[in-house]
Amino acid sequence: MSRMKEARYFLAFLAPWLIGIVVFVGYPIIHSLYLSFTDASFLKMGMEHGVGFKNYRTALLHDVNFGRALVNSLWFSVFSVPLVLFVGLIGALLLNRKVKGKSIFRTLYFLPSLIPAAASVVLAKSLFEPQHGFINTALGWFGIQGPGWMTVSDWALQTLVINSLWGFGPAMIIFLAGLQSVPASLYDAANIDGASKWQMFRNVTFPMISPVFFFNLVTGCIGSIQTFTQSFTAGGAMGSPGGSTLFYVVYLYAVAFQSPFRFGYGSALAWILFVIVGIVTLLNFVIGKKYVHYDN
Amino acid sequence: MKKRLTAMIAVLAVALLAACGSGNHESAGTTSATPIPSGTASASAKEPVEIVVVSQVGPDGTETRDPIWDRVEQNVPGVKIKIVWATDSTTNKQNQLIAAHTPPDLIRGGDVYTTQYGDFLEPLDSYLEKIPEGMNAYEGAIMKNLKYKDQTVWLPLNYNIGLLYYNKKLFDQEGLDYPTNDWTWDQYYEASKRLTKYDSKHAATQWGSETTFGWWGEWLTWVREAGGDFMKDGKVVMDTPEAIVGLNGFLRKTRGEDKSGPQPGESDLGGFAGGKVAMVYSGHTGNFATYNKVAGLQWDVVALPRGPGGSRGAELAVDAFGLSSSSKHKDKAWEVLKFLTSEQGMVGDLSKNGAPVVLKSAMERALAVPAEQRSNPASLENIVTAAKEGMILPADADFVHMAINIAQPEIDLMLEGKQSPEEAAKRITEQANSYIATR
Repeated sequence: MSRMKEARYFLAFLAPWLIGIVVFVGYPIIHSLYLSFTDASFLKMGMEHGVGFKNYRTALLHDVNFGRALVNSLWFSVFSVPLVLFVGLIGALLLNRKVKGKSIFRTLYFLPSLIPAAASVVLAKSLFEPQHGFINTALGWFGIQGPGWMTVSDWALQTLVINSLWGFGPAMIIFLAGLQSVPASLYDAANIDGASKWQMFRNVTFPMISPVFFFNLVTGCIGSIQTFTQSFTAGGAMGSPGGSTLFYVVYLYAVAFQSPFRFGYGSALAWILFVIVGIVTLLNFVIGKKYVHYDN
Repeated sequence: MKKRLTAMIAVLAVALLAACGSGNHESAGTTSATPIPSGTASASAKEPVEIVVVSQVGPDGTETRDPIWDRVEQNVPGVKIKIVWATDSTTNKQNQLIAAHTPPDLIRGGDVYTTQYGDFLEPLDSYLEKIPEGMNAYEGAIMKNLKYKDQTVWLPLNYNIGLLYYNKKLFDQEGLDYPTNDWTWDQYYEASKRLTKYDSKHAATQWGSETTFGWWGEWLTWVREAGGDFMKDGKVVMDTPEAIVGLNGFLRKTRGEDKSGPQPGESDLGGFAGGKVAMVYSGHTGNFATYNKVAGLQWDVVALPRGPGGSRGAELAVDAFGLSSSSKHKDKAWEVLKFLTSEQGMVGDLSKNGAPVVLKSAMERALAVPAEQRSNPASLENIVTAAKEGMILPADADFVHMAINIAQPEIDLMLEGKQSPEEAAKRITEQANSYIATR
């Protein structure tokens, strides 16, 4: 078969995917950028007018909910990602040891991740219910009066961070895969040199799994900034109580897909989020260069 | 080879397009904006005309067709009702269809939705002129809320009005007289406080009143009773002295000496339906069915107390149907609309949720039944009294957004004791007016 024919076959077989990505991904992305410079309304699509940078100026300079939602999302990300990574790493280190029933423990720790996020929040609401929830009842056994958790603005976001631990399973499994690829010979050498457990972790384990850690960190940051379900289930479109659980993507949804259906403004919010996520990811890559160790 | 390759690409393209275009339009499993054909214009005269409506799936997700649609088909000749199932909410599905330029022939809404749907609704005045009773068939005060650009765009089914619900048993136990339509704030506070009970650890075992969190249902009522309002002349005016008196009135029942309802974080003891709460301030008629399902719950309603501003402040919202301005079968859709809002059509609505209907004749029939033979609420007259002074929501397309996303967080913080009503009012007004200035 000539190279030309091969190329044609290549393109023919690639065509469904290419058409799909252009029509269903590429076009909406470009169109949303266009809409972000218009006063488009969800209910009046095709009747929009150009407004220049007005949507971006409104978000960055005038919209109190933009700031509130962005701070809440970043706050959630800053605390939930390290928490999930830490617990995931501890879990992986424990499961990497020679313990009986290891596979059962792995399954048990991973199981909560299979529960849909919305269900986990509903369950958390019940556990953290101030009067009759298990958490405050248990705290009461020790004479501690628990807070109002999800019902008061001081604690609602913290409760969502704690609840994010439900999702440590996938990070743990990826860490575990990384740990199992660390050559035993490195530990043998460290043992001969008299390294302590901490020194072995710091100088052997962590550098060897640093690409895996980096992967979990980057995907964790991107995912947590875009968190929707937990916030929406906990506090609805208004982020009750007191706007404390209003996350960025929920606000974007509320603006674009609920009354007043400001699709243009919602598109601008989406593009601002894209830039923010890009900056966070870039920061991660810059910092990552200092600690991520690649074999090659 | 070249031909074969071209044929292969063509087949793939067709397959892809077919895949994109397939799917059951009435599928319950999708929330996408699937284009819905609005009947077939070229259908022969003998074939029934298809009228598209949106209906929500049942709580268990099943597509249970409301018997009202069968009655429509039996009573309106030449009509077939095609249902587009909404999985999350009727409103969301309607919005998706409108956004896709394929609205249903009949749009469900009411006065709250007028600014949202007004441009997509057919003016009905010319249709109403053709029927003998015209507008007179309906409660006039309510009909004036159903206009857009001076034209009637909705025909009403029933209405929601803010009321004071009370639990007869708890009032009897305390030896208190039942509330009346001429109550004042002070009488309400006094009764609510007396009906609040605590245990030895000062945990509430019975509340005088519920507290409505999370939306404007109660706080706006208090503000309006005090003579204030959320908006006036296109501006948010929550910082007026009257509005602040209203917010203080709302707060007073959850904090301080007159506390008689739960604050954020406190148990609501199962709410009014749980039987441990004596009153609901500004409860809506949509609650009738829920409360009537609770065995042994004896309750009734009165109009809300008048506040210092002399107003009852009760929110009036009308549940209605409108006719899509892009319907291909407006005349047939009008016939369906007329039937749905007729006494015969409203039978289903009355029996389902008991909400008061707007049709005069149907309400008169309900009022003709002696009070002792009625189910809860027995005092239907009080509902009519309340409705006469009902207040509609501000006619601003962004009211819901401003009330939920701007005002509500500040109200929440006020209820938590983190800011005073004055501070909450100031922040709501500044933020909402800033929003109005930039929209």
